[in-house]
Amino acid sequence: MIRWFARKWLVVLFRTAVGGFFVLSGFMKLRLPAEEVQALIRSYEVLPSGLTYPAALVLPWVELVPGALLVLGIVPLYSIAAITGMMVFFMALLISVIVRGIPLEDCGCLGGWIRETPPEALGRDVVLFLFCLPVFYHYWNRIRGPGSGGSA
Amino acid sequence: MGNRRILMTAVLLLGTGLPLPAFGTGDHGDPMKGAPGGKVTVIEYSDFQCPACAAMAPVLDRLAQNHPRDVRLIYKNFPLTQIHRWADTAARAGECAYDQDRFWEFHDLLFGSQAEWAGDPAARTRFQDFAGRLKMDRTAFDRCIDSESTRLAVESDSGEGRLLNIHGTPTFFINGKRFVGIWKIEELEKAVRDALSGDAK
Repeated sequence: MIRWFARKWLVVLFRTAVGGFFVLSGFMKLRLPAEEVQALIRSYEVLPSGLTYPAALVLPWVELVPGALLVLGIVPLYSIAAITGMMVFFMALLISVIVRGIPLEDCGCLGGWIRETPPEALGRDVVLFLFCLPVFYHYWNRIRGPGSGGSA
Repeated sequence: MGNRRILMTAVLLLGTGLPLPAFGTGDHGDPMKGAPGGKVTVIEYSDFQCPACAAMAPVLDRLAQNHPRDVRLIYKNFPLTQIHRWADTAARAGECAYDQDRFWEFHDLLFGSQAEWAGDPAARTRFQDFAGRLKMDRTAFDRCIDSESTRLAVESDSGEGRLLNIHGTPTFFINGKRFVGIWKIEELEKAVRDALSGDAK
């Protein structure tokens, strides 16, 4: 079934949706003071306190750069691989927040621009993760060479 | 009054150590407690309906108590009205308690019972009950909540917050250094020590 979803026009659509979301997410965090992003990271209670500020400085760029590369179709296999990895990480984080009962009013995924509870964000992440799969499949097969899979 | 508040905030955030107007003693300025001439100023932008603000209220109180000669705490409103139904009314109620010199008692009551009134459709009545419990003039309190000057006072604080690029609460500044969200007392003690040692240099 993944081959059906790996058609070129669908791949472009999924790529734009996923990459666009990461660009938006990174940009919305960049407009905030780093301390606000730090508060967001602290609220997940996974990183040692001393690492939260450096992470806050890096996180927006870690989202923005692969997102922009994916939208523009530059090194798409690497950017979709990075983004898929991040999606898995973010989903794991959200599940851990829900399981641990941490009362987050907002996941902070979009820097407070649009507020989502952890379950809402998890649902959205699952959809975006499913979008990532055909994109990864498509570019993986392009690297492996024609005739090795995919329909583009 | 709005411009005066902005000017005062700017002065405090710059940490110049200039003599400051007497906070918490009249019908203007912002609620203050702790050391009036303290070397360390903590300015908190807060929302009475924000759970993280309720969690930080006793921490900041303890910080001020631990440094009775050095730390002063100033409260400013930053109600997150998009997500908290009663944030603006609570902020106005706080201003009205301040007008009757009962701000900090009212502050503690609001945060202490936040879970009870936050989801109550009749939260405003509870605020009025709190005013009665604190022996405030309830008629003046009721009139004050709806007054234009109270709305402007809350809006003035929020406007300052927006100028400072504040998006979430609690956001507080310890001699200008920004902190957002929930912090442990030990972490804030270090910030106070840093501020004091910076002042000594």
